[in-house]
Amino acid sequence: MRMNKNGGVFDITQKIVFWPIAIFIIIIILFAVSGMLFGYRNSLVEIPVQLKAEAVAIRFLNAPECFTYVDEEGIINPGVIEASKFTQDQMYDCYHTPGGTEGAKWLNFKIEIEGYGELKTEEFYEGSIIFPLYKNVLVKDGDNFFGKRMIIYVQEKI
Amino acid sequence: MLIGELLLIGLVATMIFKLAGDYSNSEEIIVEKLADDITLTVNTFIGVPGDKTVSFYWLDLSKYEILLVKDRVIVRGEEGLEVTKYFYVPSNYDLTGQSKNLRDVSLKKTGKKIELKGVGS
Repeated sequence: MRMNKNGGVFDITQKIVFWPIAIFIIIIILFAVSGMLFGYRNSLVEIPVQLKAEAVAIRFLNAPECFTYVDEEGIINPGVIEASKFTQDQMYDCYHTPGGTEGAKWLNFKIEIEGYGELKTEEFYEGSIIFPLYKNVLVKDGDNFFGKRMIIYVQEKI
Repeated sequence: MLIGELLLIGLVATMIFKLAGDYSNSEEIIVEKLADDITLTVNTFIGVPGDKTVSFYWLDLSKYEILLVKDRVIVRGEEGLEVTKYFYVPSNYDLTGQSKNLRDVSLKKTGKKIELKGVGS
């Protein structure tokens, strides 16, 4: 049916149907664009959990408060693990998560050294490991040094 | 009636540009990023033996307030936004410091003490 160029009943009806639908679609598009921008911005500012885990995990190899061997002269030996310090109490002292901090994300760890067992942080729970970190270490056991691999299992929890 | 369509397109375009502008200039990004960077630095300080100093930052921080305490860092922006990040340090470490309306910030580790200081005006 030919439309009346000067406007008529059909022209008005067409606009009455068209505009609400168009406005509704435009609102949906605006929400979608807003969501995409929000997601993109979050992806730009987020620090990868692997980097966060590495930053925390280096203390297990290098910090005397954790497992690192300190000789009689007080010299810290990074990368050398004192076997007698590889205990659960030392682990809690090295990395203590108080738990119950609402809304906070924190990392849990389980550390294994072959032949020396495994240690866990307080909040670590089995079955939900994100990824492992592998570190080559020396273990000082008495007067002897052994080359071992330290496996640090990482878990993120809210 | 064409004017109506043109006005609507102009309105939608303005709204989309405003949205994009708001997100790109968001204080939320800077506050979040700053708190994350300080947390990473504190964790790295604990893992690396010896005394050291790290200075921040590529941005003028005079609009922000930063507070460092034992187990967390709190960053407050000009628009009232506040972000808290937690870290878990060995028990013999002492963390302290505050920066308010100062351009630059530095983190200094001396022994078992980590101090945050503001620098400049």
